Amino acid sequence: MATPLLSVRNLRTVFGTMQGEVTAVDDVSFDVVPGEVLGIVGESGSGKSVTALSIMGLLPQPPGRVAGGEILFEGRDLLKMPKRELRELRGAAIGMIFQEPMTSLNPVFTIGDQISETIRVHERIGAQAARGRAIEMLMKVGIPSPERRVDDYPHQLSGGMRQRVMIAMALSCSPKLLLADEPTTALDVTIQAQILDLLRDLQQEFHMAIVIITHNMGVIAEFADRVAVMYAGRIAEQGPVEQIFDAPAHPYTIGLLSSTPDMISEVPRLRTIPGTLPSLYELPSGCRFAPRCSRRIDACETGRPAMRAVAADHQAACIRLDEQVRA
Amino acid sequence: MSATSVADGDVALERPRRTPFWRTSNFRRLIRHKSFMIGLVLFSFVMILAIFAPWIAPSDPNRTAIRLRFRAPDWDWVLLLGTDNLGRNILSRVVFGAQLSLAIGFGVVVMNAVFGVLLGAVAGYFRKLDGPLMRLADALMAFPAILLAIGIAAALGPSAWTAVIALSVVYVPRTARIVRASVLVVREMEFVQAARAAGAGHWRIISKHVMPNCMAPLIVQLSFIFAYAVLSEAVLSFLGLGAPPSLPSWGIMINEGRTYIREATWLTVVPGCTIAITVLGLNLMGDGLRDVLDPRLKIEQG
Repeated sequence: MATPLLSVRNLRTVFGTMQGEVTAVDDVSFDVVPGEVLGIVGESGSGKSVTALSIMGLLPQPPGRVAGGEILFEGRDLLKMPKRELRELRGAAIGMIFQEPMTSLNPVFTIGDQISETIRVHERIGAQAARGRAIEMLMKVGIPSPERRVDDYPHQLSGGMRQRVMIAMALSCSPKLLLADEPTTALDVTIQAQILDLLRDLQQEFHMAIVIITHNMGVIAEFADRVAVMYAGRIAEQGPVEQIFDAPAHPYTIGLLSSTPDMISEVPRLRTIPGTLPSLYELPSGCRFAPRCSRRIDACETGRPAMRAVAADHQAACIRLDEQVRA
Repeated sequence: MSATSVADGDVALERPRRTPFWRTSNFRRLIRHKSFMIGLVLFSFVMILAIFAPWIAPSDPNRTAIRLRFRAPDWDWVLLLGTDNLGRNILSRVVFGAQLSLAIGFGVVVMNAVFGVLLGAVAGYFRKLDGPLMRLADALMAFPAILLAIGIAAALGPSAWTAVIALSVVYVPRTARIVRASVLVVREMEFVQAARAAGAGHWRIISKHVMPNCMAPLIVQLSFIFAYAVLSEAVLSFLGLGAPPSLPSWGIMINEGRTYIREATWLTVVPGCTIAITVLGLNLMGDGLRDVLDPRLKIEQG
């Protein structure tokens, strides 16, 4: 395995609230090697987005705060980096795209201005040259007649087009890592597929690593190389996509996969996982999935299950792992 | 790749010219807005008086002619608005007074546009500074506006600058409030976070992403502030705290004419009317701007 580009070690992110501090991300660790696509999947509120915001240093502070761990990007800890340097990394070495393309662009400037602006924050480059680069980027993200579109305002574009512009903006300085926080959730299914194809092509072209956050297992299957499944602020299982889909080890992953519709089997009603995500105020003391788990035993409720290897580069946090693999 | 790539697309590298302002939809809506146009006509009238004062005025506004005192308005250019108790030409004094009023009003607007925006943006954007700055604004706003202005003007001594400073201290907190309110909304929008994710610094985010999206309420507010400033300047001058008596201020004219209000009404009525015209014009324009730029604030017409 190559040296990781991004290495998140024991990240803990907390939010101060009226009822005390809650831990939204608890002891999360993962690596991303250059050129790889890591998918982070989980239900709403499982800590996916907070993880991404922690990496970018964009947590709303207060109430949010990284309480522990380290985030190494090319060996340097982003959490200890001076703010100024972190700002120079953002947009240049690490790009980010957001869920809501309709509001992620500034309504009062043309899209060309906004892309040029991003370039000019990081590079000493003239207005004309930046404009040229903006047109080039728009062409790369598949916007037709970019030399005319560059002077359009965001309201003149559709949601899919705006997401393309967001991607153009995020990639305008050729980042090594792209964080995509639910990049397709707000789009139509057909547009979703187009955007994923586009990201896939651009990922090859720029040879960048992508961390894609989604709650859609289909997106993961189509797009990611490796996947981390998050539950209630912790990683339940992580490993290569094929392994996770073919031989999921954690009961939560198994549940997630069996509640995903497919086109082959005819089930009258989609299977679901009973119960809901526990409140962060009253987390179960042992395994956080235990109250909803069909395979729960008493031992599940005492002590946090450790991450254990299932196969090479595939770990899960479940104490009944051995039985399951055998079963 | 399309045929028009960047390399041969010199045309594309030129920015197209912006839509001229008289073809934008906002401008079209404004010129169709009746009360805005009435306000514009009234205000333009006062502006023309102010700009062409040296040519309109039949004489020096301070030249006295005791033998010609208390001449009633007449159908004659020189005596169109009559003379006052010292025989000074009221037409001259009114047009030079327009100059003074508008200059002070404009000064207050500029001070508000600079300091109100700065304080409002800082308070709204940097949450830690919000509390202290807004409590300071609360403290200033706790005083009745005119009382505070009188206090400051009295402390500084009468001059045109005094009026500008005193009125700015009164109105800047109000402008800052309004700017802060819009900044609080805009700063939470996703494009601000996107800009932060793209590595933009705080000041760049404020100036390029937040403030341009807060302009509508600010422009409306400034047009009303202009009106208040003209009115308050007249009040300060009336009380002898604004412009010094050597300047032909509308407030001073009313004060001086007050003694003769029974015998020579025109001494007070004429400057009173010009104040009313200016303030009415500015308020109508402000209403129009609000309807066009910030339709959410529109009051239902019943």
